[in-house]
Amino acid sequence: MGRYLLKRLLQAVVVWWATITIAFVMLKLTPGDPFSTERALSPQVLAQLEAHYGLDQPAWVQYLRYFEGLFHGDFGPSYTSTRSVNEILGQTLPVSLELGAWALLVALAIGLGAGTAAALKHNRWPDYTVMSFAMLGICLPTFVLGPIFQLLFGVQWRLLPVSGWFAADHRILPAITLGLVYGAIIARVTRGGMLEVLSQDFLKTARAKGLPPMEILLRHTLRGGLLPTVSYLGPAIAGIVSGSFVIETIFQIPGLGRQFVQAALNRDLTLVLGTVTVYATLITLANLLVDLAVAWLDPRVRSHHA
Amino acid sequence: MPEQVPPTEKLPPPGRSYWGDAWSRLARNRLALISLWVLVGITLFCVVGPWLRGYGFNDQDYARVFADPSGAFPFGTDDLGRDQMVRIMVGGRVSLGIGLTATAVTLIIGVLYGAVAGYAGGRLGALMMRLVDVLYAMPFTIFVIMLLTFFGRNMWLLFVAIGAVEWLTMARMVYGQVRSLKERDFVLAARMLGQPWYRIVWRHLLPNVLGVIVVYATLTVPSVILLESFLSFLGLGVQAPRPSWGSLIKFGADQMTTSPHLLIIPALFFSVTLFCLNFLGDGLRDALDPQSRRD
Amino acid sequence: MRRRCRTAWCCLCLGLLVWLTGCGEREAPVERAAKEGILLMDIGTEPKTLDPQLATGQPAHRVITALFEGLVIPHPQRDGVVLPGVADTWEHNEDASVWTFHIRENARWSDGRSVTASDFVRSYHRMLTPELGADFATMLYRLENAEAYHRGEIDDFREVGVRALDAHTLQLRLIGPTPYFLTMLNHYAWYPVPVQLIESEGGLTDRSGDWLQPGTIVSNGPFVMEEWKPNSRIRVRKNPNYWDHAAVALEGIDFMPIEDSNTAVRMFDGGELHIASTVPSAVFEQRVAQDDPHLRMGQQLGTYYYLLNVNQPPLDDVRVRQALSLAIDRGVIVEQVTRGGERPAHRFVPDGFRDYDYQGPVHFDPERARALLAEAGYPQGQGFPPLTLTYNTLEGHQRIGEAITHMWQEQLGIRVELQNMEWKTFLERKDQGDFQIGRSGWIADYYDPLTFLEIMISESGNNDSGWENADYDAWIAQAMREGDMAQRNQEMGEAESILMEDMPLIPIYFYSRRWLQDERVQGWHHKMLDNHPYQFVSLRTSD
Repeated sequence: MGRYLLKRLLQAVVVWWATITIAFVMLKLTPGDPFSTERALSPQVLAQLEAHYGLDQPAWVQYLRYFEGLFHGDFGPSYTSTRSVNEILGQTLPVSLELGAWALLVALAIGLGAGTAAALKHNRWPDYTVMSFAMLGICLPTFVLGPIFQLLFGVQWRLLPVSGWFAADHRILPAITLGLVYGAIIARVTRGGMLEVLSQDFLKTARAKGLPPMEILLRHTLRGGLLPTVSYLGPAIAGIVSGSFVIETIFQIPGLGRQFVQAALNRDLTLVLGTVTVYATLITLANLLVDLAVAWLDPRVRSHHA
Repeated sequence: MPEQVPPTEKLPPPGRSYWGDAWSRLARNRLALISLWVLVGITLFCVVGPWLRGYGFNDQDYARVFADPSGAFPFGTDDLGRDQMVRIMVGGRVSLGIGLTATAVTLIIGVLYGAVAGYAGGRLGALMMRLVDVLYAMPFTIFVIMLLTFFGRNMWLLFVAIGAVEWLTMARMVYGQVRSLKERDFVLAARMLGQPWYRIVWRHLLPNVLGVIVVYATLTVPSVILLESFLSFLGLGVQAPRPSWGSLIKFGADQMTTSPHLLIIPALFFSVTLFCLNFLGDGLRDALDPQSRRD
Repeated sequence: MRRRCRTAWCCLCLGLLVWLTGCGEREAPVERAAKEGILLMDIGTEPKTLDPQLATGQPAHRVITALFEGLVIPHPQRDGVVLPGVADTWEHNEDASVWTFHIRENARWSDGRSVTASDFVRSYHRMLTPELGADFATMLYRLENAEAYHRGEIDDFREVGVRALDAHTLQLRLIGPTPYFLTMLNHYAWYPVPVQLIESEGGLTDRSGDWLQPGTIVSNGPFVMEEWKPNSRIRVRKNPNYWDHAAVALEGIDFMPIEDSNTAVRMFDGGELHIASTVPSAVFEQRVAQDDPHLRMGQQLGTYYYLLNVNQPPLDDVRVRQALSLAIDRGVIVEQVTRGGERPAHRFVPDGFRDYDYQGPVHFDPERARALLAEAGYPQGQGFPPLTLTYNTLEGHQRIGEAITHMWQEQLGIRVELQNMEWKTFLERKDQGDFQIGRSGWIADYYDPLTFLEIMISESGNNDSGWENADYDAWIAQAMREGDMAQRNQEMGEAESILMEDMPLIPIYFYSRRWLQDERVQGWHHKMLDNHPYQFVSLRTSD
């Protein structure tokens, strides 16, 4: 196990390096510079700014310098903000993680419950109802769902705040909006996986043996049937953590996703690289956990690693 | 815990009769059939409609802006007085086109890649999946901005760009499935019989993961269509004045309190299409996997 | 099992019901804040910095005017009129080229230190230090030798026209007669900054802005910073050391950066904002129809225009440029497309500057447009090379572009492709002259027509059209040094008529300003420059 983890850690380092390098090269090739605004800067000011941030150096020097800073845990200054990248990440990451955790909770609660229920009542009305709702969740883009929730709960009934990220009640609407989409997908994937398992012969044997249905569900079906769901959790976590840009904009949440898109559009190289590194780490971590979970759920894969 | 009973060994699908069987099973599934016809109807509506409708998708008339649905304009008009019906038709062409093309790209790259990585396993498989991880962690926005600024705003490029991003998830799902399948008896048996790897992947592994692939592909089409709308949101989507369902819905969402029909009608087309795609996907899944139908 | 499920559902529904009715009586944040004297307002996007010498853009402006105060402050109601700020009196010499400001004795920084004349000198020194890289350093070029110092042509700052005659007397020597100088001073580039503090927190030319953090920052305005949560909230509270703190009615302000104006409107409707600073045009129309008492609107000093690249054929032909302009029915654009109270542009400088109000020559005349196009060699648009109209991605720009290219097609028979671009790419293309027709807009920095006209002179960095005209440059140079206001308006008018004759840009409309204002807010008036001195704002509670 220890060796396995070490190997994964090494892989993670490669992932980080490659991610940062590709992002760096791409950003250097993309037109536009961080300091341009509608109001033109005088050439002197621009030269000063570039010298200040070391942008007058050749690209490979900048590249090496970036890694030098990274080695000391310094993500460098943000080009477009007065705060350092470390500071920005320190402020926005916890917010995104919290939002992501709530959303994942919502997604899992809805997805697993609905998916299992639908699979057990395959092709009967609960199946259709649940799947129709799941479809609705997938079909409605968050930029439609979010405003509808705001209008209903915030403006019409004044039950919940429209947007912001201050008190506990500010968490509810964004978590549900973000979680619903993934909940709907999880419901579908779970249903698919469960049906796959339910149709297999060993379950028929178990049923023929007269085992109670609850036990069949918990001991035999869930374990195998959840495999696709667990595999999907990797992308789902990545999507929830990094894809929350629209939600964060609509609900005014000071999270990483909004910061990342702003940085990318502003060509704020250090901030983009910083966020990308954080994403790479999070996603690597999520994938590791998912792989471990898959190994635990599927004995055949487990034996492969041991 | 009682011994887990392994699934019966699957016989290699015997050519025509397997697909023939699948078709006849699909034909018996009423819901899937209805979905198929509705999809055909919507596609025809979008493809043929603009020629029959008397208006172009960019014919502006300021005398009739924000008109409510009526006889002359069944779906109303938008803020420039353009016929919303023809815009939905043309938008459907664009969105369905993107959805299908990008999903095809996704399927081809993702399934092949995932299956090969999963079957190869070991160091090569791990390496291939690490590459997917790297691409996963890439800043997608930058990637697309770059592509579209360097190579110009080409609609086909957009399809490919989206497909190139979406294949990652597909590859990962297939990888996971294949990896757990390849240790199963029927695969081992095939290997023992000395069948070449590509034949095992193609004939034994892929048919078994087809269910997951089909389900996921039916989910990819809508997510691609949504992605296109997100790109329109960033200004990198389909070039105005050409509409897409995504951009129509986005525009409608901004007017939802003032002209709700601008949101509801395109959203309805969008949702019905997705509903049908999913029912069809389910039907296909059942049809392609004989076992799940038997109970 | 089925029964258990049903019970669980019932419990869940009941629980939801109890919760829904239980928290139904939420007190609206606007009401609660009004009782505490806290103004809740949105500022658009998150300001990149609040350093008055590095900041750009309206969001930063809104916060900076709460934190800092210049020599003079804007009038709460009237544009182009100033009230005493840090300086209580001032005088100038006969031709208004040397100004002397008397700084009030009781002007204090929030740490209790006096605001002195040398604070201004050192602030302007910092602003003009090339290493700082301040965007708005050019605003200070009005000062004698400031430009030379900023360009590194002279090294001795004492040659620059700013001097502290004593602790409370500041003398500013300008490059020429500037009768409108006071309105320029309203711009935050002229505000004092706590130089001592900045020096100890990273140095004068450090852009990192450590000194701006709550707890560290020292400011001299009616409010001090209490909290700065990026992308979430900037909270300022009353400054007890402010010289006029007794007159400040508000206890504090919460500024919220809200990028999506639809969200801001929903927050306003949900009782979470006292002021929503922009209203999307669709919502605007609806509120006008409903006679919403919260809706406010007025003119804004800004022009929306299309910049033409005069180096690109066929746009190098003035007849083509004129034809494109004459074929645009601007009445239709503002009434049918933008629909937010904008006014059709008849010249480049927007209406609203006192004494600079004449009817410009820009108008709609499709007959004449067709004739000019035919003269240029393209009758009915035949043989007209394909052109591209580039705009940065935004729904509004897209709609206007769709409408105008449609008009060109209808009136002139020419095809113009639309091309949207992501903002930074768009800026770079424009800067490099790699465009044909580019969407543009300009908002006044200060209350004078020059803020518009000066961007089209040959050496201006903002003139991306490639258009150069020696006569135009000469008129503008003359107007910059003209002491007589009437004469000056004349000169600017001459310059503008050259501009509209040559048409390197096509003015389309003058901006308007629309916002939502809670009935509790008092003393907040329409200002064309959108500069609101918060010390005159108060909140009324409903009971």
